[in-house]
Amino acid sequence: MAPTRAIQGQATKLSRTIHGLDYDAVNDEIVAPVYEGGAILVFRGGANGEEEPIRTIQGDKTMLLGPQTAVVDAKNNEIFTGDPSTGSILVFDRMANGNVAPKRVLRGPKTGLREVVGVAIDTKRNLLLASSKNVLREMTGVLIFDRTAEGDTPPLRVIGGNETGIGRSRQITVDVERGKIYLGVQSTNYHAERPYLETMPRKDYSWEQRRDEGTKYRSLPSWSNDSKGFVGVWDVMDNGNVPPRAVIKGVLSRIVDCGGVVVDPKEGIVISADGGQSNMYHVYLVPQFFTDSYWERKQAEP
Amino acid sequence: MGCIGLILIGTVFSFWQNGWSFQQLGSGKAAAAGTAKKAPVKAVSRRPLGGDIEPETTVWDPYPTFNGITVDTENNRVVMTDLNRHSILSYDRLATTKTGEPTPSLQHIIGPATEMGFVAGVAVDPEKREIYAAENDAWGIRIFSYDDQGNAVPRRILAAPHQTWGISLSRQRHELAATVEELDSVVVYRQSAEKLEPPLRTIRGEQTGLADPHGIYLDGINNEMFVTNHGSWTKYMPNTSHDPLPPVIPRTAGHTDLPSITVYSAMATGDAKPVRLIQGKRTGLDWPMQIDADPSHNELAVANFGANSVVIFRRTDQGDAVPLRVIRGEHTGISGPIGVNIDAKNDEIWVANYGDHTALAFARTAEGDAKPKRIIRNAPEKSPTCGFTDASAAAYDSKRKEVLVAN
Repeated sequence: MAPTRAIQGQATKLSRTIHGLDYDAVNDEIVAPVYEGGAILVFRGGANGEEEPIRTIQGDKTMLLGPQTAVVDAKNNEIFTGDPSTGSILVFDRMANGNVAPKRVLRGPKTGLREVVGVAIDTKRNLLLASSKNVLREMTGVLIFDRTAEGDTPPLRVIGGNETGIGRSRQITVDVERGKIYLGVQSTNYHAERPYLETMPRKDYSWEQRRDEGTKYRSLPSWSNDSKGFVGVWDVMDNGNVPPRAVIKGVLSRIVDCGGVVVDPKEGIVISADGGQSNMYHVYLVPQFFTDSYWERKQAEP
Repeated sequence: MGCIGLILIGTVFSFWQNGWSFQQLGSGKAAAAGTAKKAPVKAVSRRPLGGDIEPETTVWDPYPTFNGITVDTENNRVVMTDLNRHSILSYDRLATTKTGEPTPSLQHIIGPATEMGFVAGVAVDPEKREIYAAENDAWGIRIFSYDDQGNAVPRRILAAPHQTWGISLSRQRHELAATVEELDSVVVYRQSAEKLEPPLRTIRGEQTGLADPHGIYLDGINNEMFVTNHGSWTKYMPNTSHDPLPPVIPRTAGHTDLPSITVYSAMATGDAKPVRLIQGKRTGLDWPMQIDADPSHNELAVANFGANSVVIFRRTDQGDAVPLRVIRGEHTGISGPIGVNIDAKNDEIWVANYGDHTALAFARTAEGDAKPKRIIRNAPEKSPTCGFTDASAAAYDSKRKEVLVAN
């Protein structure tokens, strides 16, 4: 199946490593991060072909180095971006353009942020949610902050640990109405370090370490038989080493390495972008996920 | 990239069904158990709802997608990497398909034992009968034999930086050069290097002009190195959870320049300035991918992805140079070209398409809207590509009912 449109080519300024992508339905705009160029791009919603972005946030005042994810908060007119190169979340005015400073910077050891590869906003509860990987297992998962948090502020809650099944994850989104977090989980196994640090092999790395499934990084929650990826659903009030409230996972789901997830509650769909060895995207019809009764009824049972 | 950096939009089919059902985990449809120890079940553990739900729609391309290409004129074969199904395919140099069916391959190396993921650049040694494939999204350069087939373990693996893209083998120099996108670098190894052997030389720094480098050609005759650059540049900081964070955010200006071809001495190292630079609007460069050189005719060829063309320059061109020739047009069959290779011995030029399932052989001096001499297909004619080979993020355009997929 061929795409109906493709935004590509030199003039777009796009690069690889787009681990987050957002469509702003209120303003009909597309937002994408540029990892290789340290930029955030905004395209018009109907963009096609080699079309230039309508706004570009780039330059030394922006504090952007290698952003990998971006999301629009159309209610408060802000763009949030996660930059794993600096372990930070930067917030810009939605109409920011050029070499402009962020409005807020969330960064520091107390935040727990490191490899930030997903950001989402819950505008109803004023929450900022980050999908972040950390050398600490219990800080790898979903970090939940106040939407306007800045500086070295600790998260309000952290969903992380072995029972979450989150070994490595990427895109995150929120069903704002029901307060449900959807996370694209690539694997229950923790991400192994790569042999190279920049242009040279790591000094403390041995050839035997190269396998990702080595004992050191293997991890399986009690509720799963395999380490394959999945779409995981948590509540925005969840905290700690807790399993997902719901998953889309298994052989029939076809999910292997779920890096991207997006939902449309009105249409009752969950979309999973399955990268890695799969190269697919799947659309699931799960209207039950977007009804209050589904979550309330099941939570009441022992 | 494995990813290239583009956003694809597909239509979401309308689908509604009456009623719905759900499954809880433990229905017996899970994949086979792994060997890891499981954490003990908690007394009040929450079993996730949902479960093994089948998708209403899956969008994917079951066929290979060509990426790098190289021709072995001694053994008369042409070799391509496949970014979509993570494989290597080899064909007889004269193979072609006139009926629209896939072209039979001589060799298809594919499967989990190969450890291939997003294989990009490819090189061959005709005498040693070895194939070198660069891994762009994980790490490493994997070396296979011409005799390997199917789910083969690599004969050797050379660890290389993450985001290695193009590779070039110089048999004269016995060296393997590679570009590394996120480091804006070139690394050069001994040809027979393996495991954790470090590079002999590295070109890196702000003077180099390297900016998201892709294709590379190591010219062992003229002792030069040619690199194509997409133009995006930012200061690199180690960014995985295993790396320490900088205490403060460096203030450095990311920028997006015009694409270019930078040329270095083959022995260049460190923050070396290019000896020549081809850059400017007249060059027509647009997301330039693989580059190849023909020392016998003193020409360079570039797979020019963004313009659906192949551009040929004089080897010694510099500045805002107009290409010597451009192959472009609807009759060429060129669609999202990523690979290019000049066969000076047989007077041909090859193009590997990402945009459809073909590789094309043209007359070496073809230009304009020229038809290819031969077509190699890895899928039935007119099979579409879905346009992505690493679906790394998604968005939903509720206004147009379209799914946006980042590649």
